[in-house]
Parts: sequence; C-alpha cells; structure tokens
Amino acid sequence: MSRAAAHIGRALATLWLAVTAAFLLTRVSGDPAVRIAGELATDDILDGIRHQLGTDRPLIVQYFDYLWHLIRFDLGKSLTYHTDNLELIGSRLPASLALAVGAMAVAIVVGVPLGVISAARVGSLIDRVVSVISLIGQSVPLFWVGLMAIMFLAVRWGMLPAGGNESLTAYILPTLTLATIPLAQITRLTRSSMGEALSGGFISAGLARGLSRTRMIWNHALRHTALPVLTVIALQAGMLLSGSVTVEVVYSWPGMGRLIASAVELRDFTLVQGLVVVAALVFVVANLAVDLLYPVIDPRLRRSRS
Amino acid sequence: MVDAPVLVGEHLTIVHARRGREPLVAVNDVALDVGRGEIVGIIGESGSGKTSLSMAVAGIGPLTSGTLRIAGTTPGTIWKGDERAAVQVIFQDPVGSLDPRQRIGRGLHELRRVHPRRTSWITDEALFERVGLSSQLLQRYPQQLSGGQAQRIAIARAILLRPTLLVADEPTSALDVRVQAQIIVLLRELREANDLAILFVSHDFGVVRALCDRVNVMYQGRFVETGPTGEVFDNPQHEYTRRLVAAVPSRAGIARRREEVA
Repeated sequence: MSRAAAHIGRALATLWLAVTAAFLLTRVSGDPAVRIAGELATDDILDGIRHQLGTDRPLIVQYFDYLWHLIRFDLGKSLTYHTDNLELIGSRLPASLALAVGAMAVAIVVGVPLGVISAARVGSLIDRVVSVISLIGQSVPLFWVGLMAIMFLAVRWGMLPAGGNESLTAYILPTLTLATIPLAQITRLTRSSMGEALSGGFISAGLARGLSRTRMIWNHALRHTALPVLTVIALQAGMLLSGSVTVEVVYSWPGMGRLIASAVELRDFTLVQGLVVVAALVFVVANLAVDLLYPVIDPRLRRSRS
Repeated sequence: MVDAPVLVGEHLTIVHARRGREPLVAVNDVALDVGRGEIVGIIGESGSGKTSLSMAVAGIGPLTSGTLRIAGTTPGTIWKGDERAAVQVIFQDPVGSLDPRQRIGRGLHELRRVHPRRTSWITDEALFERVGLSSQLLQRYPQQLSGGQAQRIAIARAILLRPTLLVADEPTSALDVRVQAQIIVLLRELREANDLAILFVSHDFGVVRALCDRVNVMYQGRFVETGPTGEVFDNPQHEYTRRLVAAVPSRAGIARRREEVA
C-alpha cells in the first residue's frame, strides 16, 4: 500500500513541476499585453490591459492565484477564442484521443509480433529487415512521413483523403503516420527484451522438459516483455494524447495538437498554460497507471508472502 | 549387466564454430555409457567440455558426430514427446531454470498437459513428498524459494516425466554445503527407488566421490581416465587426475599443514 502511495506522491510532484514550468515559461515568452494591444499602443493602454489580465501583480501572487484556480479546475479564459479554456480543450480532446488510440493499437498489434518474430530468429533476413525498418521509423521526421503520404496516397493516387476527419477513411493516413514512432519503438523493445528472456535458463530448462519452442516463446518469454513494452506504451500514450502536434498540423486534424500550435503562434498564454497542464496530467496519469500495474504483471515485484 | 545400458555414446565429438577463429573442439571422440540404476560422474575443470557433452547427451546441445543410443533407440535430430521425456536435465542454477512468472503448481500443470500419459502416475502432493518438499510450495513463485527448494523442484519436474536417464549438470555448485549434502542424499534415494540412471557432471571432487559409482575424468575434450570412482581417485594414473586429487585438502594433508604451522 505504501508503495502505491509513494507512486502517487511522485506523480503529484511531477505534475506540480510541470504546472510550475508552464507558468514560468509563459511569463518569459513576451508580454501578452503587447500582443493584444499591438506594437503602437501607449503605456497607459498597456498598463490597463496588464491590470485586466492581472499580469501587473508580483509574480508570486500571480503564481498562487494560478495554482488556486487550477485546484478548482479553472484554466482561465482564452485570450483569442474568448471562451473557457477547459471547454475549448475538452472539445478538441476526442479527436486527438481517437487518433492516439488508433495509432497505439496499430503499433501494438503490429509491433509486438514483429519484435517476437525477429527475436526468435536473430540474424535472419526477416530480423534484419525489421531492424532496418524500425530504425528508419524511429529516425524519420513525422512531418516528412505525413507529407510523403499526402503527396503520393492522397494527391497523386487519390486513394485517401489528405486531411480533416469527416469520413472514416480520413483516419487512415494520420493514424498510420502517428503510429510510426511507437511502432518502431515497440518493435525494437519487444525484440530486445524477448531476446533477453529467451536466453534465460528457464527457456532451455523448459525445452529440456519437452515444452515446445513455440510454447516457450509465446507462453513464457512473451510475458517477460510485458513490462518494458508496457512502459513504452505508457510513455508513448502520453506523447500521443498530449498532442501529436506535427501530425495534426500536417493533416489539419481538429485536435489538441493543432490547438497547441495555434495557441503558441497567437501567444495565447492562458491557453498554452492550460494545454500544458492538461498534457502533463494525461502523461502523469498514464505513467502512474503503469507503475501501479507493474506488480500485477510481474510477481517478482510483489511483496513476498513467505 | 542384465539390462541394456540406458545410455551408450560412441565417438562423441562436438565442435563449436567460432566467428573469425578456428573452430573449438569441445569434445573429442569420447565414449560414454551409463547402465540402469547407475550413477556415472564426469569430472573436469571449466572448459574441459563436460557441459557440452552433457547437453548433447540430453539432446539440448549440438552433437557434431558420433552415435548416441538411449534405452536402445537412436534419437533423431529433434527430440520430441517420449524421446524428450526419457532424458531429463537439472541445471546448475535452480531458480533460473524456473519461469519467474509462473507459480510452481502451474508449471507442473503445464508439464502434465504436454505429457499427459507419462505424468499421470503421481499426484503433485506425492511427487513433492518424494523430493522432500511441502506441497504448500506449489503456490509459490520461484523467487520465493531457497536454492535448495528450487533444486528439489527442478528434480521433481524432471522425475515427473519418468526419465530413464537424469543428466545433472553441476546441480549442487550453486548451493551451500549442507544443502549440497541433502541433494546428494535425494539423488541417491531416487536411484534406489526408481532405478534411475544418473549422469552427474561436476568439478567437485568430494561430491563426485560421495555419489558416483563410476567416474570419467575429462580434460581438454577427452576422457583421460575412467573407471570405478574409488579406484580412479585412490590410484590416479593420469597426470591431470593426480593434480585433481592432490588439489583437494585431505584430512591427512590438513593435519600435516597444521603441524608445519605449529
């Protein structure tokens, strides 16, 4: 029980750090009053706006005011959209969520078996092909993958829509593009942790007892890859959910990622702050869930009952 | 010997290919036999080829050339079903030879599913009693066991399949001396009760002497001396065996050294 409490404590500390960083970074990125009033505004006007925004107060006061609002789930009002930030983010979240879940599903369903197959035949042709492809998948920038997919599949061959999320087919390209990095990572990690598990003594012991190699791979060794793979899934899930900025911009996807891009562009500091807080929350919760799941998956991490 | 020997190996040779270097001849034209109910030792230092040999005999390591007959039949290149079950192995690292994610009882259940006919002769509880363990351990995970308990479980898993030959590769090396002695007693009991033949691989002179009927002294891939354990160790003929015997502190030797110090 105290283990879980420690994890929750650490998650809260992480969240606090992210929240504080969001506050400080938006304060050093320029005066929002100047953006609102324009370069030519007089000092009187600027002071008025600052007073309205509350940015004329001492930083520490602003900080505690911001925390106080956060605790009550109040993310403030957007300076450009003139609506409640929480509502705005909430309206964009489902589109990002759909994309993230789809991409993660593709990455797991394809990545885990690929990793297992390459680990079972280290050095074979299939292993080398998988290694090279996953290395490329991890290294190639997402916007390039997106642009190429649009150029060939959407524009030249007209097979799939290039953007938006109106039709079901519109999900295919962004989902696959977003899946490249987690797919590559899951494949590589499954392969390496599978390789490690397969070299364990209990594998040869099992073979010596007459258990088949297939059984040892899929029933015994695979369970040992669950932990590292789950960790990557959690890390990647946080990344995917909290704004696949590139992919959403490239495919003009109406999700959180595009909202982040425009909020930064417009220097809408309350919105940027709100988005960072929500993203951090998603990230921390995803990782906390995995931390709490570890002992369920691996009996070695449970307290010994003997 | 009335029965045909359990294991007969002739001209056994194992060559390991090495990248960028010339191949390593781990086992060089060795003849090995084990009779029913007999405990035969292979003693040698690390790198002598004893593990390569024992793994090949157990069918989980490569055999480059030579003939191997187990209970009168020649196994194929891939051992399956009964062939596989007929020769069982226990390893040096007892905890490592159990799947850490599997309760002990589940592991036995899995073996019973894979070998339904061979395993129906005994219940889990009776099996555990036979190796001197409480059946409460069936609920445990491997990491909740001591080394001695884990090795007893490895032995239980092996004899569950009613093997005709048990290959034991340094089964006591990772255990402390008191537990070592218990495992040796257990192996001896199993031999008496089940007429089990055991190929016992070790670098430990004392353990081999305590347990084995016959011994093969292995040095650089060959058997340099072979015969009844007592004869070989009391009257070593080969230079290597003599060094091996001399390296063990005997009671007389220790007494002499004490006198020298005093």
